[in-house]
Amino acid sequence: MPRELQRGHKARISDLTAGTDLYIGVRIAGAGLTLDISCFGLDAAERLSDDRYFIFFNQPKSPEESLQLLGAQAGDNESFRVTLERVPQHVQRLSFTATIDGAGQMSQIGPGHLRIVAGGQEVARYAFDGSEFSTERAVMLGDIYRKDDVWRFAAVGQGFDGGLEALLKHFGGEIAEETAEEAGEAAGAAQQGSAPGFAPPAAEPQPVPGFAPPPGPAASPAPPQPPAPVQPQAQAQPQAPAPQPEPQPQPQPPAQPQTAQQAQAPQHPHQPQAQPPAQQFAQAPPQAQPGPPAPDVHGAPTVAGPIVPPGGAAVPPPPGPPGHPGHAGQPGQPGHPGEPGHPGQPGQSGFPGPQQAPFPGQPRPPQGYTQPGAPAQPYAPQQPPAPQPPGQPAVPGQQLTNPFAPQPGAPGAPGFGQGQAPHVPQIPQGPAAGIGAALEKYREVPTGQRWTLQNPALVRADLGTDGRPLLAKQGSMVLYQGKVDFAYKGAGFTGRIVGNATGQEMQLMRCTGRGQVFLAENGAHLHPVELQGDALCVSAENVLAFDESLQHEVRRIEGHGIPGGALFTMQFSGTGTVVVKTQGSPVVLPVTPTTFADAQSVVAWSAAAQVIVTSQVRLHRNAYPGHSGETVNLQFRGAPGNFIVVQPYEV
Amino acid sequence: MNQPAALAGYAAQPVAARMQNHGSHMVKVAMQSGQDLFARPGSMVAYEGFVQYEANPPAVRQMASQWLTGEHNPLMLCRGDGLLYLADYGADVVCVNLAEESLSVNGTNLLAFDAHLQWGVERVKGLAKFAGQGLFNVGVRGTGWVALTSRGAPIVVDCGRGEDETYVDPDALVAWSSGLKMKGKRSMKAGALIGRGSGEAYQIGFSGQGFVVVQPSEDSSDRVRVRG
Repeated sequence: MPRELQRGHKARISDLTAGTDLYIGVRIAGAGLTLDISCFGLDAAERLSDDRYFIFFNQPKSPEESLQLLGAQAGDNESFRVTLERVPQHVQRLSFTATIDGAGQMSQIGPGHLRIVAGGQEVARYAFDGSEFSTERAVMLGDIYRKDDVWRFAAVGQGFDGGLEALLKHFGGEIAEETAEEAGEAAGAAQQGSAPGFAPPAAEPQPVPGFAPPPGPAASPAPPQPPAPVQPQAQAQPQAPAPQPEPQPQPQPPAQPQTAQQAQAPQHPHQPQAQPPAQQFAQAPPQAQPGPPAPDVHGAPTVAGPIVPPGGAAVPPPPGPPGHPGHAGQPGQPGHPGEPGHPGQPGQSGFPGPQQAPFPGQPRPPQGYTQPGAPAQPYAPQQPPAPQPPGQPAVPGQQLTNPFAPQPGAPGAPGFGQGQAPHVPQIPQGPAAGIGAALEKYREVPTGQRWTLQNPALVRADLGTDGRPLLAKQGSMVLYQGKVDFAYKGAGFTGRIVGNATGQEMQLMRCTGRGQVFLAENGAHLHPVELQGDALCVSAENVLAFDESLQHEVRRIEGHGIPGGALFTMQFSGTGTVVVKTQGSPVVLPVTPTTFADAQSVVAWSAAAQVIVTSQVRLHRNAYPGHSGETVNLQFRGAPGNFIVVQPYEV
Repeated sequence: MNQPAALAGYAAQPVAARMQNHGSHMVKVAMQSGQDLFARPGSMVAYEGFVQYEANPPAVRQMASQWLTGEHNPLMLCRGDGLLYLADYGADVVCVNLAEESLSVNGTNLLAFDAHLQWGVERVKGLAKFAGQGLFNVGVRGTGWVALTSRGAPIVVDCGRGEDETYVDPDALVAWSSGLKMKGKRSMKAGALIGRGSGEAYQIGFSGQGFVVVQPSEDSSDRVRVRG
């Protein structure tokens, strides 16, 4: 039974399922709406710091394939496969979002859901519909996030009026700033990195013909070989002398004196490199204000690139998988549209680090990155900033280790990708999880109360220090710990007479001592009902156990025409707990003026409700053999607050 | 015909492990040649690909000669490539991935295990004569997968927690970690001799460090049979 979550609810994944290989299905649709569903892999600051973890139709998997886009299936418009234990450490949050492409607003959507399926079983569902939204054009549906190293799920349901741009800005907008800062620092520390790096992006957006091309070729070789940082530098300098030489080219307009092209290059870096060409032009002349405008501009245009696939003609889907669609896009397009989160700048300082990191790593992980060379090319054009390479060595080193560290160890990695083909089950063989992992979810629940439901079919009674004994159906004990004594509990002479006569006979045993007793019977569902001075009527055969402190007596329900003259039930009263068992999960109905139940299915009712036999006996002559054809319906009457319990099983 | 919407969500999931649950009552095993599997005969509900079944493998005949009075062989060998679905009359299935560990499983609760695991039939000393059909269990050791069945969601109880021993109804016992010491306990008293037993005639007592897996049902009858 899936857990239903409401907006704002949170749950630990481990509470939902022991599995870590999740299927996330999203259903969201509305008449005339085109919706794009995507998944953002965010860092601890909830920023999309690594655009390879932006999973959408043009980038269907993350580099190590822990996130995969599966497409529409099984009633979901879009579905993802998330393998939690393979998600790299720097991705702290997976945000599932839907954005409207084209006209429309979220209030137009019909009933939808986001659900988590594990091992063929739906374990959680967050349902929503258009009434929860108004003019939003983008919505964050739910997050799977790491907290204290435990994965949790949150039903978010937060909308953004601005649509995709707003969403992207929300996730990546500030990255621009961050990277800018970093860039600045980098510039200070390592001269080459900052200046040159910046330059390139700027160059691209602009139609600066002269600049870009020349450095490109030279630069290209550099990026592919991160291991040899030295070369890149060397090359870079000679080729693109203008940009890199000056450590802090950006702040200093002095760059201008040089070539026109150069001048532009340095500045842009500062500003929003990502800006659409139009803006850049405008700014270019003034050159005076480098920084401020940057963030804004970045957010919007940058993001737009990746998502709008058509626009990004350049975005090469095939190479895409490795996760560099962004870069690829750049050459073709103006304005760095390629990189979702990262406005142009990131390219140099901040960006190169994370992105290139994978390259060095690639050699190890067999899958994904088969073509180290390929990604390099896209870089090339941009990289007039050849200088970047210098930056890489440092960053890659750090970043490399964590994300990829686990992978080399897991030979299974490649198998995952293929897993979808049913006939060629490549069995991922990771390290054996061990007994503990498999059985963890069946662990005993913490103690504390006298009666604890361990799972739907198993109840634990804690015979504490007070030594209050309990009575249980004979043979219902499956396990006990401690010093517990089981003894025959006789009903007494009159009790036996009554029991025989009414059928309300219980074969009981008395459990005394200290310890924990686990009770169950044939996997029937158990329900501990606590009585505090009130009374409950239960058919004797549906009683599993009860506190000895409760009084119980046989009660008679009269009615004309009942076979045998009357129905009998067991009434419990006093203070204590009765464990009622039902076959299958029961329904609990409030007693209203028109509440009826089949006498064979009703399990229990609150004793204050008055019971009337309504349709006495119906005789069906054509009843199937072995069935008497007699049915008795009971009507219940009582003040509000009374209830009846009915099981889906006719005894 | 397209898959009806009502059946959405029951489609097979991509293979993520050698054994994984499909729902809680079925296990999916990814078969590969060279990685054979022992399973209860009759437990196969579906398979995809090329899987062959050998009902009477010699290795089993020897090992299990004393298991279950020899009416039929308790295990069949499955080999081939493909996907194999196993179930036991709606019982819950639990997949365990042993990592150089060992586990003792009640014979009737063992659904399948990797053939490369070391295994052997063990007889619970002193208890077999009490249980009607004789209590046999299978010890499994090594690194690999084991699938257990349980009627109803099982519970795992640590034995080492309390100072006292843990007593289990043998009919509800599913599995236990191999390191535990076992002994039979009869809880019969004088009163029981004149027909007034508590219904709990004997239990198995476990002591030591480890865990016991118990099912919420005392139905230990062996349902999986080969038809025909």
